[in-house]
Amino acid sequence: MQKTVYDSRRTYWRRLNLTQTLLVMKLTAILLTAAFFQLHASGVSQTITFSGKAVPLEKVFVAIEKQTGFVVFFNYELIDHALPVTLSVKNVPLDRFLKDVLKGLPLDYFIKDKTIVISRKAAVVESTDRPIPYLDISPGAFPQITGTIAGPNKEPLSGASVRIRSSLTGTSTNASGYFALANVADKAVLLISSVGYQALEVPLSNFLRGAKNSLKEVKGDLKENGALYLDITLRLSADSMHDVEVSVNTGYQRIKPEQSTGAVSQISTKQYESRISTDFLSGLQNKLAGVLINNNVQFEGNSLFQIRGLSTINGNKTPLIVVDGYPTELSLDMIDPNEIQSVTVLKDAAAATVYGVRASNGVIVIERKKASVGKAKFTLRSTVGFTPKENYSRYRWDPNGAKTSIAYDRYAYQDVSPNLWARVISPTRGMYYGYLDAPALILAQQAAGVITKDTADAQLATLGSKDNTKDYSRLFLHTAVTQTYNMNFSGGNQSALYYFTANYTTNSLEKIKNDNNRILLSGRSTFNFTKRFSLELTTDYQEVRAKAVPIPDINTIYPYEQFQDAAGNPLPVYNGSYMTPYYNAIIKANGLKDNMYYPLVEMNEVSDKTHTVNNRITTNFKYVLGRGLDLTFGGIYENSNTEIKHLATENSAEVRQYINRYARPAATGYIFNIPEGGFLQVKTAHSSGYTIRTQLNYNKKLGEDHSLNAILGAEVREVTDETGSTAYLGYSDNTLIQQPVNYQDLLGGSYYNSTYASNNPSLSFSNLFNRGYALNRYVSGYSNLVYAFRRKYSVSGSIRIDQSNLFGVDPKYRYKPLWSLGAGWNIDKEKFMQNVYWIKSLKLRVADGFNGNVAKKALPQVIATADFNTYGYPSPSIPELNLYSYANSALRWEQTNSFNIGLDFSIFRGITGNIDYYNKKSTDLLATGQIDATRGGSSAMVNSASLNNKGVELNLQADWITTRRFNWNTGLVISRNTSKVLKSYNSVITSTSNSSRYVLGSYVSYLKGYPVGALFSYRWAGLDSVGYPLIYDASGKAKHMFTPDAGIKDVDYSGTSIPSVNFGLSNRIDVGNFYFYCMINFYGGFKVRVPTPNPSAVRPLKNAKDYWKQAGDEKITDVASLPAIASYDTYIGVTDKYTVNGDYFTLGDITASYNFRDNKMLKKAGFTSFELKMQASNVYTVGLNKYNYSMATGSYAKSYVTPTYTIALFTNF
Amino acid sequence: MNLRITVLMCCTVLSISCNKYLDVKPKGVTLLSSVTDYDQWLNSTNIEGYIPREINLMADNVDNPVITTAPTAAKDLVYIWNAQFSQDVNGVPIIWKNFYQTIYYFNTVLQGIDNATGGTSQDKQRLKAEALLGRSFDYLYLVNLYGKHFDSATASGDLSIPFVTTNDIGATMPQRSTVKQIYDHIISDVTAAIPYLSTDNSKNRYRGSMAAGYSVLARTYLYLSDYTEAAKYAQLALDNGPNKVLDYNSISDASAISTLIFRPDAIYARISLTIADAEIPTLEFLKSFDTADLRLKYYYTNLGDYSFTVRGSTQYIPYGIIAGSGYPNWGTSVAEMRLIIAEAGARSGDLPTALDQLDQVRKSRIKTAYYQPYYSNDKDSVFRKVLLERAQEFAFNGLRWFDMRRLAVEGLMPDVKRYDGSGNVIASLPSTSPRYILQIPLQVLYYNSGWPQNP
Repeated sequence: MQKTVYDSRRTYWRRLNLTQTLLVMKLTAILLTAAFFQLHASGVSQTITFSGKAVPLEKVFVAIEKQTGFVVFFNYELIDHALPVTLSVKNVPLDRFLKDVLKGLPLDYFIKDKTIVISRKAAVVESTDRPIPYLDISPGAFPQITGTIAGPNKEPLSGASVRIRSSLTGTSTNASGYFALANVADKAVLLISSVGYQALEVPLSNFLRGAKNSLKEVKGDLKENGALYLDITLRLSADSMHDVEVSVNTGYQRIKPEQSTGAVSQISTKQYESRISTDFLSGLQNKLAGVLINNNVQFEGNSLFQIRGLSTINGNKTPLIVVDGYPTELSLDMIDPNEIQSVTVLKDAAAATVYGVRASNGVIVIERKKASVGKAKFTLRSTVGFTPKENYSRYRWDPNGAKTSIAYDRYAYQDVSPNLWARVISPTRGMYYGYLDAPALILAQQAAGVITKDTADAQLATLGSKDNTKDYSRLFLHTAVTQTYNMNFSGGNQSALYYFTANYTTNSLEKIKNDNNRILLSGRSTFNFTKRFSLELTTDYQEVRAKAVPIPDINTIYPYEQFQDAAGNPLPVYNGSYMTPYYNAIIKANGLKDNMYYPLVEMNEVSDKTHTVNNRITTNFKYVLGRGLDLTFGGIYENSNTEIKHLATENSAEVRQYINRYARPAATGYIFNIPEGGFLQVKTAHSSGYTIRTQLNYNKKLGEDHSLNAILGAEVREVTDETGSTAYLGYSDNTLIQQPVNYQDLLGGSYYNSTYASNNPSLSFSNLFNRGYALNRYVSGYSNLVYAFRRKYSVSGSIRIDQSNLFGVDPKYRYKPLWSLGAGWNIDKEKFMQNVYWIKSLKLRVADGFNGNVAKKALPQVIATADFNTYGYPSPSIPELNLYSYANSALRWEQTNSFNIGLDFSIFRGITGNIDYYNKKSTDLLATGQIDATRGGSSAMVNSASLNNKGVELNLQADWITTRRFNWNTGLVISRNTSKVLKSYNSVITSTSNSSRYVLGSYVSYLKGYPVGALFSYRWAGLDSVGYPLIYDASGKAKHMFTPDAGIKDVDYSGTSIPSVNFGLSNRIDVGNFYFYCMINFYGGFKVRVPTPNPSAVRPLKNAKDYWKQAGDEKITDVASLPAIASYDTYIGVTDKYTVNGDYFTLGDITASYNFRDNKMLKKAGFTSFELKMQASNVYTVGLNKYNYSMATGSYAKSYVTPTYTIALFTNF
Repeated sequence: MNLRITVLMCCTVLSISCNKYLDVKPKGVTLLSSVTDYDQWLNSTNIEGYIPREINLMADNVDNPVITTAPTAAKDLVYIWNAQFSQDVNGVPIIWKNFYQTIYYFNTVLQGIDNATGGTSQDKQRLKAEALLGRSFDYLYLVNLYGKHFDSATASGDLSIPFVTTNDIGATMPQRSTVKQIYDHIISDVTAAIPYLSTDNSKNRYRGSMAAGYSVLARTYLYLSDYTEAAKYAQLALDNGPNKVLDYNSISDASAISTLIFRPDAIYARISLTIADAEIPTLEFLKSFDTADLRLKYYYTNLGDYSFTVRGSTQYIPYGIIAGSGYPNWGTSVAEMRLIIAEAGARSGDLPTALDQLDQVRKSRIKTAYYQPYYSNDKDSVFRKVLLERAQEFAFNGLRWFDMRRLAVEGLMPDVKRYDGSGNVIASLPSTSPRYILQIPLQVLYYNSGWPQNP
């Protein structure tokens, strides 16, 4: 600020010479622009009293300055031909006065920080880029100097002043940031200034032919005719730094982009809000290079959410989430997508080392919107989204599934024993025949002669004529609806700012009676107590309620099964009943419970209700010590409570089946060991944590060439997790009473053999009742330092030491710091680049260093678990402690060395981007590794495994065409990651392992020499003449599976199951108040398995009916069918025939928006913005394999994606 | 100066409070800290039942008529005395691992008990003594599996096993000690432990006692071929603990035998890791029994007419024909002490003592109606009878292999042969065979490449 305003005393002197100066300028600058600057500091009033006839404009300005103390900037050229003013007013507000004065003139004005800038009206702006005619001028002077002044983002600065030192000559820039001066002495120094930016002195001697330009901010171009063109970039003044989002926010520190040496990706509000996001993560998908978010592909049972691959095996695998400067342990659902100011991803060591042992997976820094000084602003946002029901007619199912299933049962049961039926209805053996489906039961009766062939055929024909997909859809599904309402208001003055927001989201899911809703409340305020002392206070309250009831998966219901009879009474289904209806009738007749599962009953009798309440409080004090130093002290407290209530009434199949399973015969009737009544299980999870941080910040420019931005801090952090479960049997939700249960006899010790229903689900004591507790504490010290020289070169260094409870004692590892070093080179600032105009900026970054990860599954000392010794002790047994984990003084943090080299560029007009290459090596990963048995065991959790991730990322943002009313922007983000397991102990796969170890299960997820998530497949060789599946052995000869088994030689490595390439391409076209946005996603470089066509499947796929039936069929079909080899289906599914390229594209979002901000009605009503958006998400997908299977569909059977249609209203007032 | 002191003090206070802050106890798992913790640690099932069954498979009394021609399974490789039992470097080194895992438990006690909270100093000394005894017992097995039989002339040069005393898996691995060093450790550790051991372990025979200490010394001196000392300690064991062999005539079947934890004639109880594994005795061994021997009746199936002609038809069932808790004790027992005294007597020519002790055991095993006390005045006959009694009494509790080793050195061990299903010899073990000393498992050498391998 100080520098932008001139010394008033000097200015006063200049005022005395005003008339003289004006004369000179009129003479010398016929077509040139000129300006002069007026300052006065005496007045305080903001109203004007003025009276005069035909007063020249500049005199009016003098009057304004006198009365208000405001400074008026104007360009002489502008007012040269302006008519004099005739006006008489008394105590009019300045605003009003200026309007009156300038009425009818082609002039406009704006007021900024006690400065009134007079400019040409935008509508009449003419091109000022036109060349200025050559003028004959005196030697020792530049005949003309033209140039543009822009801010750090290349935004043109209008009204910036350009003055010649020690003279009164000067001008100000027009709306395009353009200025021109004529005949300026070559020894002169230009003084450039603009409110909010750092003033700049430009010695013109720098640009004389042969001279060296030492200024980074200025690019000069000396033309043949001696005309000089200057491209000037002003830096933001220190005060306005924090209002600008271009700086890199690491959560601890803000680093100017040209000083940053780390690999970061950033997304701004505009990019984020181009689409309507109802949850936080989906809005980031494919928008940040290096971040892989995919809910359709899973690894180790979790959706993909990773930054630059996986860098741990047993540690935390998700990126660290930092909200408003502090890490959060709360769920990502708790982040309101309407609150996003910016999202920054810290990917490499230089960027993330400051987060220490949690940074191996990368860090996502979320900054929420903040209040700005001014009157209260209100924002109201509302969205409604619809997702239509499944369309089962487009599924890849056999359209005659019922007939196919029945025909297959006929084939499978053609030689069934006549005894089968007798066993089914036997009171002692019947319970073991629960696997017989409806057609099989009819066939068993036919075989036993209970019914005739004709009756059986008739019954099967009736079954075969049914198809329940429509019923299922009608009875269990409806259109899913998501509604969100978001309201916030913000404002404040210099000493206090506030921002309050409320969000309510309600989801009604596709499956009926399954819904959830969420309330988020947030209040953020900033208090500036004194110039030096300020406080930021943030509180968040979040509440989620979810209800889930059991709706059966359609894939578990045979096509011929019905949910209701003709009268509308509920009917049972096969899956979930665990016994045949016939045996069920027998036990029911004897007084036990009905064991069958009726989906239409169950959904009313069983529910899971989840209730979560989170609280988050952040407090930050800041004290400015001066001389570039300030001290921050703050902390965060988080608290989360979740309760899940699972209630099954006594009418539910769940409870009936428990009762039957544990029933014992008694002298008369039964003993119901599980009492009659409901079943309630309550699970609770409580987590709380705090972080307290003290930090010293130093940010200063030292002289002309050096600048230093350093932090030094310490942090204390604690996270507590508690879980628990308790259960009530024979429970009534009305009376709230329960009945006693003898768990010792039922669930303790030896295996309980059920008398009547051994297939029914069993209870487990440790699942019903348990407690869990974990406490983690950390003490950390860190420092980060960024040094820049002449804005050309910057060097950064980070160091962090983390200490935790129950961790490494060996001094060798205990204080081992994680560190990083980085360097940046702003090539565009180099002299040799000054003439390359198409390159606006170019920066090379290199960084190397270490990040850590926490994996606390072992300790330096022995961990024991309590149990009861059962060697011959009568109950209750004596307590024992067993070894859980070995003492390991060599235990250490997992660490990831990350090397990154990147290029940031800004080229032509509006194309910016960056390219990064990285190589990450994660070592000392905790894995169950083999150890020398002499040490006390053969394997232990030791820091033994090692992984490598390499990749390339490209991020491109292009504004192809930008005019006032039109903008076409394209964003392209491409990430590629390949991983390799360098070292890992795999106890399941050994050199002699059977081939099935490679293809089944997840044993190869971390197999040495292969990528993480490797897949292996058999080589499919068709069926043989008796219907058995064949594979090719290593020499290419077809053979039966496992005969003999050649281990790894029988399988091929197919690829990884984790996408290695992903990209997002977004286009946004703005026309006036309208914009159109579209996003295309791609995931590739991975393999997927597709299900095999199997006639015995509950819902057979399209070609399943063409199964092998007799010799010769093997020539026309690959579908194996022999009931005797039913288990082979699993192995056929892992052959290369059913392992295909997983690459797929999706048309993610199509969004259209119109802002009615110019509508007079709405304006009158006080709206400053009234935006209506419409969006279709998840519109179309294509899979690049022979099955056209895209994982975006959710399952192979589903051949399409279900779009979601959303309408949103965003308003401000 | 003052500033420096202040800064220094601040740092100290900070680091102390920091350590306090980080020093919190976890829940759900236990970090051994109190005397009670260590006491319960010694109750662990893992140090009660760990002795590998494979030791039985090397003995001359097991048969395997269904062995495949080129065996690959570890138990079959053990059976044919293959040099290595697994070629898989990633595999688990059987036998070796079992003992060192138990040693780990005892080392954990020895490392931490001094700093344990609660309990009296006697409690601490007792637990420490128990751990020393338990560890010595394990080293006694190891030195006799992986080292040469003790020969006073060469023992200080013969390599055996590493003497591991730490429980830190990050610590440096010691080199292989000599046979003599290991025995010295065993004798000094057990001797040091005995005064602090409890006088009675009848509440839990798995736990150490004074008698248990003497019994381990007795076994140690027996393997050192110092029979006088062996007999002396065997007698001390009997004098300080149980001394009555359970009479099988007093029970109807093995199910009536008390669970090992309270078994009256167990001195120091141990069981095998795979306690339920049945074994197939050789026909020759079966034929060595008196048909009135109750051990046959209680533990062996399909006795038929006692002619034992079909290999594999008779099996040894460790939990007894009538299943119960009568698993054999792999640790020390009254019978073992008595037979040690008997052997010492037979060797030294004190035949009355030998015959008396033999009688004490035999009359509790043979049906009373058919029992004839053994008598001979031939020193060698008595000696052989004692050996036979040992073979029968300790048939499948891991002791036979060690007797074979002793006898082989003395030249008293005939060649042992393995036959396939058709009676062809597939492996043989002459008394001079290097296979009497197990090779260091290659899974262990992989980590300790500097160690010399046994021949």
